[in-house]
Order: sequence, then C-alpha cells, then structure tokens
Amino acid sequence: MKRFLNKKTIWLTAAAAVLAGGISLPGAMAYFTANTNAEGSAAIALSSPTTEVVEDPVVDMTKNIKVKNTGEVSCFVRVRLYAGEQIKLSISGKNWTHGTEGDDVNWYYYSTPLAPGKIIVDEDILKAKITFVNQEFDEDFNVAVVQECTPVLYDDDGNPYADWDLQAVERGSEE
Amino acid sequence: MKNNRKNSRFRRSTLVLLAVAVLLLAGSAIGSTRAALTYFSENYVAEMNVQNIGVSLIENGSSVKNDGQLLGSLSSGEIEVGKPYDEKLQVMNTGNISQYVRVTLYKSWTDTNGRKDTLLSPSYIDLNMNPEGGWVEDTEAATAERSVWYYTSILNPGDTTTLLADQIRIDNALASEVTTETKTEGTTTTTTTTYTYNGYNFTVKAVVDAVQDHNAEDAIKSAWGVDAEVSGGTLSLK
Repeated sequence: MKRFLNKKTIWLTAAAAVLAGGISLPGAMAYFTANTNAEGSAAIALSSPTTEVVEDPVVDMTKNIKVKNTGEVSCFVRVRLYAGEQIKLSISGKNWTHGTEGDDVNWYYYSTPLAPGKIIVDEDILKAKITFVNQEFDEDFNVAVVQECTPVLYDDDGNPYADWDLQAVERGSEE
Repeated sequence: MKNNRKNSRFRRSTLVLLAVAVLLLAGSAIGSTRAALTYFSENYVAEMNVQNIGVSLIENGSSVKNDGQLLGSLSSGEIEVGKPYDEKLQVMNTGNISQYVRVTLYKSWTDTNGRKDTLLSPSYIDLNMNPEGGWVEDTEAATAERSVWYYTSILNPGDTTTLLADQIRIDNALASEVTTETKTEGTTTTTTTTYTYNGYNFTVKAVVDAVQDHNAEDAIKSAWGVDAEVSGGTLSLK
C-alpha cells in the first residue's frame, strides 16, 4: 500500500510537472500575426546627353538655329555664336534667355528640357539676324555656332534645372 | 380425470405464455415508437465568429498581392536620374481584428543578371519617407540597405495607414560618379568615361508584418523580437 502511494505520488507529481510546463510555454503560438511582401526593380536612364545643331540655309540674312537631342536622356541646351568684328548679330527666339553674368553673357539658354529625339522648331528656333557695322563691308565671313548640352537635374520639388558647372567625379577619388 | 387436469394446466400455461408474448410484443412496439419520437429535437443555430488577421501593402492606391511586384509603374521604362516619381506606400488591415504593423524596406542595386552589387550605394535610392507622420523608424535596426518602420497607431480592420513614403527618386549625385579608363595605342591615347551605375537596376523590397493589438507588447516581443511600449494605443520603441 505504501509502495502504491509512493508510485501514485510520483505519477501525480510528474503529471503536475507536465501541466505546469505546458502552461509556461511561450504564448507566441497563440498570437495572431500576418505577413506580406513585394519586390520590384526599375532601370535608370544613365548616359551622356548628345545633341547636334540643325541649320537651315540663311534666308534674308537670318541664320535659323535648331538643336536636336540625339541622345537617350533629356537635356538642357545652350548656344553661343561667334562672328567677326564687322558682323553684328541680333539674336532672338521664344523660350531662349540671354546669360546675364560673366561668361554667361555670351550664351543663349533654351529654358525647356529637350527630350530624346526632339528638335527645337517653329517659334522656338533661335534666329540670328546678320547686319554689318560698316555697310560697305564686302568680304566673305563666317558665323560660327557653338552648342552645349547638360543632363536635366531635378530639385527637391521635382522642378528640372541645369547645372552647367556639373563635373563628373571619378569613383574612388576625392572631390 | 388426470388427463383433463393435465390438459387444463397446459392450456392455462399456453394462455399465460401467449399473454406474455403479446405484452412483450406490444411493449417492444411502444418502445420503438417512443424512440422514434425522441429522435427529433429542436433546431439550434450557432453563429461562429472566426478571428482573422490579414494585412496588405498598398502602392499608389492599389493593393499589391503577397510576393507581388513593386515599382510596377516604373518597370516599363527607364526613369530619369533626379526626377521624383510617385511611390505612395501604405498598409491596409484586411483582416477582422485590430493590429499593429511594421514595414521593413530593402534597397539595393542589381546588374543585368539580377545579381545584387553591394559595392554600389543604396543611399542613392531616395524614398521620401513618412511625409504625413505616424511612423517611427527603428534606427538601431537600420543599415545602408535596410530600414524598419513601425506604425505607431492601432490599425483597425479595413483601415489604411498614413503614407509610409510618397516619392522615389535617384539622387542627382549618382550621375556624377564615373569610371575613367585610359588606353594608349601607339601615339593615340583614348580616355573612356563610363557612368558607374550604368546598366544597373535599382531594387526595392518591402516586407510587411502585422500582429494583434491585444496584449500587444508581449505579442510584438514574441513575434518580432522587439521591445515596444504601448500606451493609450500608441506604440513606441524602447
């Protein structure tokens, strides 16, 4: 009888221990949780912009300058004209602005970004009216057109702008 | 005389047995009838309310399925460096119990073969985070590639969080990183400048976790391993 009681006590103790262990198991299994995920990629347009000047024949002593974006990214363009001392140029065109400071005064800036494949047309064509300082000037002359482009950048509000002083930094080098 | 008495006793016992048999038969029939009657019972209708927790990621107003695709509107073409694009990220409670949610974002660069390049900087992938408030970042869990954001309020069934992010852009500075290679053949020296990030795709991954709001501190600790404090329904990180 005593042996039985001992056995009974042992079994009860073991059962109590198992129950206690079960109760003290972490409650994590009972918590409600949910999960979802998603992933995506996108390519960036990253190449140097390229442009070319497209000129029509001079009509009425006016040079018509158009610029075409021949690259794969949008860009801003600017144009500068060179001519001899005897040549006077009157330059105009819609959406073109004249530089105001330092070397900028020699440049004309097109204010709208030029998308890939697009060309400046119609009223936006930059027109350079040629006249002579000395009306008796009678020699061959050249008017040279220089054109530059720079990638479109965006400010914090998403507005496009041009940084004509933008310089590439070689990876690993100090700025 | 003796035979008559025997016959009489036989008949009596036969009658008794017959009566007993009739009674037993009748009794069994009645029992069956009663059993058949007690078989029927009233109809009871029990309404089961099954608890369900569910969460969904919302991108630009549309739900993204689990293991679905992010940046869906940008994947069809190349995006311009520096230009901001809509990437409105929110979380919606699609279950029927209130919950707390967190979002883990991963940003990286992958080459054309889909391999991650850890030498390129994820910081150029600029997500404009938490524009409306309501989210808090676990800065201790943050790395260059990963950020973990907790929504501080309870998200009730059917509700959507404030915007976790509203725009994505690639930093302008990326366009100024180049690699220069110079080759000299005879008297000709050729210098080739290549954009470091040219040919790479940027990748964004979002993992959304939700946990019940009941007993939230223990649930968050258990499910996410994070020590959080919930006071007045507002979650904060310890």
